[in-house]
Amino acid sequence: MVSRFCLLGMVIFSAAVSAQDDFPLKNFLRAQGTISPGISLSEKGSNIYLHGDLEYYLENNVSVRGESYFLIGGNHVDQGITEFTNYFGVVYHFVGNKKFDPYFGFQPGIAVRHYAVNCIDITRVDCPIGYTLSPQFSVITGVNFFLNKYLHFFGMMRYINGHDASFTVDYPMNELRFSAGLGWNLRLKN
Amino acid sequence: MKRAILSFILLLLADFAFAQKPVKNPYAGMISLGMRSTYSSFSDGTFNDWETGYGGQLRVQFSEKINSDWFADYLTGSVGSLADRQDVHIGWSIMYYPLNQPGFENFLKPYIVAGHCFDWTNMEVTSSLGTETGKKFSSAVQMGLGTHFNLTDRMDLSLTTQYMIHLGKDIHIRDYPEGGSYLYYDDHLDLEGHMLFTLSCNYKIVELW
Repeated sequence: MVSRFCLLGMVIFSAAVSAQDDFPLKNFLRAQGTISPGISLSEKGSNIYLHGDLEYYLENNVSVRGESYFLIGGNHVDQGITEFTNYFGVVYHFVGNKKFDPYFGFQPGIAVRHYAVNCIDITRVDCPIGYTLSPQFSVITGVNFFLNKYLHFFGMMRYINGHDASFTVDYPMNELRFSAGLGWNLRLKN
Repeated sequence: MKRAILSFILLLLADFAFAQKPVKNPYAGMISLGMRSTYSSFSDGTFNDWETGYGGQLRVQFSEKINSDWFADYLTGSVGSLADRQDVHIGWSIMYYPLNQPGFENFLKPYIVAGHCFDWTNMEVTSSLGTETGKKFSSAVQMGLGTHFNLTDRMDLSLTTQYMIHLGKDIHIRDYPEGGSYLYYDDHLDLEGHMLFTLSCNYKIVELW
Protein backbone atom coordinates (compact mmCIF):
# COMPACT_ATOMS: atom_id res chain seq x y z
CA MET A 1 0.00 0.00 0.00
CA VAL A 2 2.78 2.42 0.97
CA SER A 3 4.72 1.65 -2.20
CA ARG A 4 1.58 2.36 -4.29
CA PHE A 5 1.19 5.74 -2.60
CA CYS A 6 4.90 6.46 -3.23
CA LEU A 7 4.50 5.48 -6.88
CA LEU A 8 1.39 7.67 -7.24
CA GLY A 9 3.23 10.55 -5.56
CA MET A 10 6.18 10.19 -7.93
CA VAL A 11 3.87 10.13 -10.97
CA ILE A 12 2.02 13.26 -9.79
CA PHE A 13 5.31 14.98 -8.94
CA SER A 14 6.89 14.24 -12.32
CA ALA A 15 3.70 15.27 -14.15
CA ALA A 16 3.56 18.53 -12.18
CA VAL A 17 7.19 19.33 -12.91
CA SER A 18 7.02 18.50 -16.62
CA ALA A 19 3.80 20.53 -17.05
CA GLN A 20 5.46 23.74 -15.81
CA ASP A 21 6.92 26.48 -17.98
CA ASP A 22 10.66 27.01 -17.85
CA PHE A 23 11.79 29.23 -14.98
CA PRO A 24 15.62 29.38 -15.04
CA LEU A 25 17.09 29.88 -11.58
CA LYS A 26 20.62 30.94 -12.55
CA ASN A 27 21.65 34.32 -11.04
CA PHE A 28 18.72 34.34 -8.62
CA LEU A 29 19.33 35.82 -5.18
CA ARG A 30 16.85 34.55 -2.63
CA ALA A 31 16.39 35.18 1.08
CA GLN A 32 13.97 34.45 3.87
CA GLY A 33 13.41 35.08 7.55
CA THR A 34 11.23 32.89 9.73
CA ILE A 35 10.74 31.17 13.08
CA SER A 36 11.92 27.57 13.22
CA PRO A 37 11.17 24.82 15.73
CA GLY A 38 13.90 22.30 16.47
CA ILE A 39 13.35 18.79 17.84
CA SER A 40 16.29 17.49 19.83
CA LEU A 41 17.31 13.93 18.95
CA SER A 42 19.51 13.41 21.99
CA GLU A 43 17.39 14.79 24.81
CA LYS A 44 13.71 15.37 25.46
CA GLY A 45 12.25 18.67 24.38
CA SER A 46 12.46 21.22 21.65
CA ASN A 47 13.98 24.60 20.88
CA ILE A 48 12.80 27.64 18.94
CA TYR A 49 15.02 29.71 16.68
CA LEU A 50 14.93 32.85 14.59
CA HIS A 51 16.13 31.65 11.22
CA GLY A 52 17.35 33.54 8.15
CA ASP A 53 19.15 32.56 4.98
CA LEU A 54 20.69 34.10 1.87
CA GLU A 55 21.25 32.08 -1.29
CA TYR A 56 22.71 32.76 -4.74
CA TYR A 57 22.19 30.45 -7.72
CA LEU A 58 25.53 30.08 -9.52
CA GLU A 59 23.91 27.74 -12.05
CA ASN A 60 20.39 26.42 -12.53
CA ASN A 61 21.31 23.37 -10.43
CA VAL A 62 23.86 24.81 -8.00
CA SER A 63 23.68 27.53 -5.38
CA VAL A 64 25.75 28.74 -2.44
CA ARG A 65 23.79 29.37 0.72
CA GLY A 66 24.48 30.81 4.18
CA GLU A 67 22.10 30.49 7.11
CA SER A 68 21.90 31.73 10.68
CA TYR A 69 19.85 30.58 13.67
CA PHE A 70 19.45 32.45 16.93
CA LEU A 71 18.02 30.56 19.90
CA ILE A 72 14.98 32.35 21.35
CA GLY A 73 13.10 29.71 23.33
CA GLY A 74 12.71 26.14 24.51
CA ASN A 75 14.84 23.72 26.48
CA HIS A 76 18.21 25.35 26.09
CA VAL A 77 16.97 28.81 27.03
CA ASP A 78 15.59 27.26 30.23
CA GLN A 79 19.08 25.87 30.87
CA GLY A 80 20.62 29.34 30.61
CA ILE A 81 22.18 28.90 27.17
CA THR A 82 22.44 31.55 24.48
CA GLU A 83 23.19 30.13 21.04
CA PHE A 84 23.97 31.58 17.63
CA THR A 85 24.65 29.15 14.79
CA ASN A 86 25.93 29.79 11.27
CA TYR A 87 25.99 27.41 8.30
CA PHE A 88 27.51 27.83 4.88
CA GLY A 89 27.63 25.40 1.99
CA VAL A 90 26.48 24.31 -1.40
CA VAL A 91 22.97 23.25 -2.46
CA TYR A 92 22.12 20.98 -5.39
CA HIS A 93 18.75 21.65 -7.08
CA PHE A 94 17.30 18.54 -8.69
CA VAL A 95 15.17 20.29 -11.36
CA GLY A 96 16.85 23.66 -11.77
CA ASN A 97 14.76 25.46 -14.37
CA LYS A 98 11.20 25.15 -13.05
CA LYS A 99 9.16 27.05 -10.45
CA PHE A 100 9.04 23.89 -8.35
CA ASP A 101 12.54 23.62 -6.86
CA PRO A 102 13.33 20.58 -4.67
CA TYR A 103 16.90 20.50 -3.35
CA PHE A 104 19.50 18.85 -1.15
CA GLY A 105 22.44 20.62 0.49
CA PHE A 106 25.48 20.09 2.65
CA GLN A 107 26.33 22.90 5.05
CA PRO A 108 29.00 22.58 7.72
CA GLY A 109 28.32 24.96 10.58
CA ILE A 110 29.61 26.38 13.81
CA ALA A 111 27.64 27.15 16.96
CA VAL A 112 28.63 29.93 19.33
CA ARG A 113 27.21 29.34 22.80
CA HIS A 114 27.51 31.03 26.10
CA TYR A 115 26.07 29.78 29.33
CA ALA A 116 26.30 29.94 33.09
CA VAL A 117 29.15 27.75 34.36
CA ASN A 118 28.72 25.45 37.37
CA CYS A 119 25.65 27.28 38.60
CA ILE A 120 22.80 25.42 40.23
CA ASP A 121 20.68 28.57 40.10
CA ILE A 122 21.27 30.11 36.67
CA THR A 123 19.32 33.22 37.57
CA ARG A 124 22.10 34.30 39.95
CA VAL A 125 23.90 37.35 38.58
CA ASP A 126 27.29 36.18 39.86
CA CYS A 127 27.30 33.01 37.72
CA PRO A 128 30.46 32.98 35.63
CA ILE A 129 29.82 32.91 31.87
CA GLY A 130 31.55 30.40 29.59
CA TYR A 131 31.82 30.40 25.79
CA THR A 132 32.15 27.49 23.40
CA LEU A 133 32.69 27.20 19.66
CA SER A 134 31.24 23.90 18.46
CA PRO A 135 31.56 22.60 14.88
CA GLN A 136 28.47 20.93 13.44
CA PHE A 137 27.78 18.57 10.56
CA SER A 138 24.58 19.52 8.79
CA VAL A 139 22.55 18.50 5.72
CA ILE A 140 19.37 20.10 4.45
CA THR A 141 16.54 19.13 2.16
CA GLY A 142 13.50 21.08 1.10
CA VAL A 143 11.53 22.69 -1.66
CA ASN A 144 10.92 26.21 -2.99
CA PHE A 145 7.97 27.20 -5.12
CA PHE A 146 8.63 30.43 -7.02
CA LEU A 147 5.45 32.49 -7.43
CA ASN A 148 7.04 35.15 -9.64
CA LYS A 149 10.26 37.15 -9.98
CA TYR A 150 10.05 38.41 -6.39
CA LEU A 151 8.31 35.90 -4.12
CA HIS A 152 8.40 32.21 -3.29
CA PHE A 153 7.06 29.73 -0.75
CA PHE A 154 9.58 27.49 0.94
CA GLY A 155 9.73 24.51 3.28
CA MET A 156 12.88 22.83 4.54
CA MET A 157 14.31 20.44 7.10
CA ARG A 158 17.82 20.41 8.57
CA TYR A 159 19.63 17.57 10.31
CA ILE A 160 22.40 18.59 12.68
CA ASN A 161 25.02 16.40 14.32
CA GLY A 162 27.42 17.98 16.76
CA HIS A 163 28.63 18.16 20.29
CA ASP A 164 29.15 21.02 22.69
CA ALA A 165 32.66 20.18 23.77
CA SER A 166 32.66 22.12 27.00
CA PHE A 167 33.51 19.78 29.84
CA THR A 168 31.35 21.59 32.33
CA VAL A 169 28.29 21.67 30.08
CA ASP A 170 28.46 18.55 27.94
CA TYR A 171 25.55 18.74 25.48
CA PRO A 172 24.99 16.64 22.39
CA MET A 173 23.62 18.90 19.67
CA ASN A 174 21.76 16.44 17.44
CA GLU A 175 18.63 18.07 16.18
CA LEU A 176 16.04 18.30 13.40
CA ARG A 177 14.99 21.85 12.52
CA PHE A 178 12.01 22.77 10.37
CA SER A 179 11.34 26.02 8.54
CA ALA A 180 8.59 27.18 6.22
CA GLY A 181 7.08 30.39 4.99
CA LEU A 182 7.33 33.14 2.42
CA GLY A 183 10.66 34.23 0.94
CA TRP A 184 11.99 36.89 -1.42
CA ASN A 185 13.92 36.46 -4.63
CA LEU A 186 15.48 38.71 -7.23
CA ARG A 187 17.22 37.95 -10.52
CA LEU A 188 20.54 39.81 -10.47
CA LYS A 189 21.51 39.18 -14.12
CA ASN A 190 19.54 38.10 -17.16
CA MET B 1 66.49 12.02 -55.35
CA LYS B 2 67.30 14.73 -52.79
CA ARG B 3 63.80 16.15 -53.21
CA ALA B 4 62.26 12.71 -52.58
CA ILE B 5 64.31 12.17 -49.39
CA LEU B 6 63.43 15.68 -48.14
CA SER B 7 59.71 15.05 -48.82
CA PHE B 8 59.91 11.72 -46.97
CA ILE B 9 61.58 13.36 -43.93
CA LEU B 10 58.96 16.13 -43.94
CA LEU B 11 56.20 13.54 -44.07
CA LEU B 12 57.78 11.64 -41.17
CA LEU B 13 58.14 14.84 -39.13
CA ALA B 14 54.53 15.82 -39.81
CA ASP B 15 53.34 12.35 -38.89
CA PHE B 16 55.43 12.38 -35.67
CA ALA B 17 54.10 15.80 -34.72
CA PHE B 18 50.46 14.78 -35.23
CA ALA B 19 50.99 11.55 -33.27
CA GLN B 20 51.99 13.43 -30.07
CA LYS B 21 49.49 13.98 -27.30
CA PRO B 22 48.55 17.59 -26.66
CA VAL B 23 51.02 19.15 -24.22
CA LYS B 24 48.52 21.38 -22.43
CA ASN B 25 46.42 19.63 -19.85
CA PRO B 26 42.90 21.06 -19.85
CA TYR B 27 42.41 20.37 -16.10
CA ALA B 28 45.65 21.88 -14.80
CA GLY B 29 45.21 25.11 -12.93
CA MET B 30 41.62 24.47 -11.87
CA ILE B 31 40.94 26.18 -8.53
CA SER B 32 38.07 25.03 -6.28
CA LEU B 33 36.81 26.35 -2.98
CA GLY B 34 35.04 24.13 -0.47
CA MET B 35 33.58 23.72 3.00
CA ARG B 36 34.04 20.52 5.00
CA SER B 37 32.83 18.58 8.00
CA THR B 38 35.25 16.16 9.62
CA TYR B 39 34.75 13.39 12.15
CA SER B 40 37.85 12.30 14.04
CA SER B 41 38.34 9.28 16.29
CA PHE B 42 40.96 10.95 18.52
CA SER B 43 40.39 10.67 22.26
CA ASP B 44 43.13 8.24 23.26
CA GLY B 45 42.24 5.48 20.87
CA THR B 46 38.65 4.87 21.85
CA PHE B 47 35.97 5.07 19.18
CA ASN B 48 33.29 6.25 21.58
CA ASP B 49 34.25 9.89 21.67
CA TRP B 50 34.26 11.44 18.23
CA GLU B 51 35.46 14.90 17.51
CA THR B 52 33.35 16.96 15.12
CA GLY B 53 35.15 19.40 12.88
CA TYR B 54 34.33 22.44 10.77
CA GLY B 55 36.65 23.76 8.11
CA GLY B 56 37.41 24.81 4.59
CA GLN B 57 39.74 23.95 1.76
CA LEU B 58 41.29 25.35 -1.38
CA ARG B 59 41.75 22.78 -4.14
CA VAL B 60 44.45 23.31 -6.77
CA GLN B 61 44.65 20.83 -9.65
CA PHE B 62 48.14 20.24 -11.09
CA SER B 63 47.27 17.83 -13.91
CA GLU B 64 44.51 15.52 -15.10
CA LYS B 65 45.58 12.86 -12.59
CA ILE B 66 46.89 14.99 -9.72
CA ASN B 67 44.92 17.36 -7.53
CA SER B 68 45.66 18.94 -4.12
CA ASP B 69 43.74 20.09 -1.06
CA TRP B 70 44.98 22.92 1.21
CA PHE B 71 42.82 22.69 4.32
CA ALA B 72 42.13 24.02 7.82
CA ASP B 73 39.84 22.35 10.38
CA TYR B 74 38.68 23.16 13.89
CA LEU B 75 37.58 20.06 15.84
CA THR B 76 36.05 19.64 19.27
CA GLY B 77 35.20 16.57 21.33
CA SER B 78 35.43 14.99 24.73
CA VAL B 79 37.72 12.33 26.19
CA GLY B 80 35.22 10.07 27.92
CA SER B 81 33.79 11.93 30.86
CA LEU B 82 37.25 13.09 31.91
CA ALA B 83 38.13 16.05 29.73
CA ASP B 84 37.33 18.04 26.66
CA ARG B 85 39.60 18.55 23.70
CA GLN B 86 39.97 20.99 20.79
CA ASP B 87 42.22 20.52 17.76
CA VAL B 88 43.18 22.78 14.89
CA HIS B 89 44.50 21.05 11.75
CA ILE B 90 46.25 23.00 8.99
CA GLY B 91 47.72 21.00 6.16
CA TRP B 92 47.76 19.81 2.60
CA SER B 93 47.02 16.60 0.71
CA ILE B 94 47.77 15.34 -2.76
CA MET B 95 45.02 13.39 -4.52
CA TYR B 96 45.88 10.93 -7.29
CA TYR B 97 43.13 9.68 -9.63
CA PRO B 98 44.05 6.07 -10.53
CA LEU B 99 41.29 5.48 -13.09
CA ASN B 100 41.40 6.70 -16.66
CA GLN B 101 38.39 8.99 -16.41
CA PRO B 102 38.89 12.26 -18.24
CA GLY B 103 37.41 15.28 -16.52
CA PHE B 104 34.65 15.20 -13.94
CA GLU B 105 31.86 13.82 -16.10
CA ASN B 106 31.51 10.47 -14.30
CA PHE B 107 29.42 10.64 -11.13
CA LEU B 108 32.11 8.81 -9.12
CA LYS B 109 35.80 9.73 -9.34
CA PRO B 110 37.86 7.79 -6.77
CA TYR B 111 41.28 8.92 -5.56
CA ILE B 112 44.19 8.01 -3.31
CA VAL B 113 45.15 10.79 -0.92
CA ALA B 114 48.21 11.52 1.22
CA GLY B 115 49.71 14.61 2.81
CA HIS B 116 51.04 16.52 5.81
CA CYS B 117 49.40 18.45 8.59
CA PHE B 118 50.20 20.59 11.62
CA ASP B 119 48.06 20.23 14.73
CA TRP B 120 47.45 22.41 17.78
CA THR B 121 45.69 20.63 20.64
CA ASN B 122 44.09 22.05 23.76
CA MET B 123 42.88 19.72 26.54
CA GLU B 124 41.00 20.72 29.64
CA VAL B 125 40.37 18.50 32.63
CA THR B 126 38.13 19.55 35.48
CA SER B 127 38.08 17.94 38.91
CA SER B 128 37.32 18.93 42.46
CA LEU B 129 40.81 20.45 42.55
CA GLY B 130 39.96 22.87 39.77
CA THR B 131 40.44 23.11 36.02
CA GLU B 132 43.76 22.26 34.36
CA THR B 133 44.57 23.11 30.74
CA GLY B 134 47.26 21.56 28.53
CA LYS B 135 48.39 22.56 25.03
CA LYS B 136 50.64 20.87 22.50
CA PHE B 137 51.83 21.22 18.92
CA SER B 138 52.47 18.24 16.68
CA SER B 139 53.06 17.49 13.04
CA ALA B 140 51.32 14.67 11.23
CA VAL B 141 51.13 12.65 8.04
CA GLN B 142 47.89 11.29 6.66
CA MET B 143 46.91 8.84 3.95
CA GLY B 144 43.67 7.32 2.72
CA LEU B 145 41.08 6.84 0.02
CA GLY B 146 38.22 8.95 -1.23
CA THR B 147 35.86 9.71 -4.05
CA HIS B 148 34.22 12.72 -5.63
CA PHE B 149 30.48 12.63 -6.25
CA ASN B 150 30.26 14.96 -9.25
CA LEU B 151 26.84 16.63 -9.12
CA THR B 152 27.62 18.98 -12.02
CA ASP B 153 30.80 19.61 -14.04
CA ARG B 154 31.71 22.35 -11.55
CA MET B 155 30.38 21.05 -8.24
CA ASP B 156 31.18 17.93 -6.27
CA LEU B 157 30.74 16.34 -2.88
CA SER B 158 33.90 14.52 -1.75
CA LEU B 159 34.06 11.79 0.87
CA THR B 160 37.52 10.92 2.21
CA THR B 161 38.68 8.36 4.78
CA GLN B 162 42.21 8.81 6.12
CA TYR B 163 44.48 7.61 8.86
CA MET B 164 46.52 10.38 10.45
CA ILE B 165 49.65 9.85 12.59
CA HIS B 166 50.83 12.71 14.82
CA LEU B 167 54.40 13.05 16.02
CA GLY B 168 54.75 15.06 19.22
CA LYS B 169 54.96 15.01 22.99
CA ASP B 170 51.62 13.57 24.03
CA ILE B 171 49.35 14.64 26.90
CA HIS B 172 47.58 11.95 28.92
CA ILE B 173 44.86 12.05 31.54
CA ARG B 174 45.67 10.28 34.79
CA ASP B 175 43.56 9.71 37.88
CA TYR B 176 44.47 10.76 41.42
CA PRO B 177 44.13 7.86 43.90
CA GLU B 178 41.89 10.05 46.03
CA GLY B 179 39.67 10.89 43.05
CA GLY B 180 39.79 13.41 40.24
CA SER B 181 42.08 13.58 37.23
CA TYR B 182 45.11 15.51 36.06
CA LEU B 183 47.07 16.05 32.83
CA TYR B 184 50.37 14.24 32.43
CA TYR B 185 52.92 15.37 29.81
CA ASP B 186 55.21 12.87 28.06
CA ASP B 187 58.88 13.93 28.09
CA HIS B 188 59.58 12.13 24.81
CA LEU B 189 58.26 12.19 21.26
CA ASP B 190 55.50 9.70 20.58
CA LEU B 191 53.05 8.73 17.86
CA GLU B 192 49.30 9.23 18.17
CA GLY B 193 47.07 7.96 15.36
CA HIS B 194 43.41 8.37 14.52
CA MET B 195 40.91 7.98 11.72
CA LEU B 196 39.49 10.98 9.88
CA PHE B 197 36.29 10.99 7.85
CA THR B 198 35.72 14.13 5.81
CA LEU B 199 32.74 15.19 3.72
CA SER B 200 33.26 18.34 1.68
CA CYS B 201 31.39 20.32 -0.95
CA ASN B 202 33.54 21.98 -3.59
CA TYR B 203 32.93 24.40 -6.42
CA LYS B 204 35.38 24.98 -9.29
CA ILE B 205 35.65 28.76 -9.40
CA VAL B 206 38.38 29.49 -11.97
CA GLU B 207 41.05 27.92 -14.19
CA LEU B 208 44.23 29.91 -13.50
CA TRP B 209 46.64 28.40 -16.04
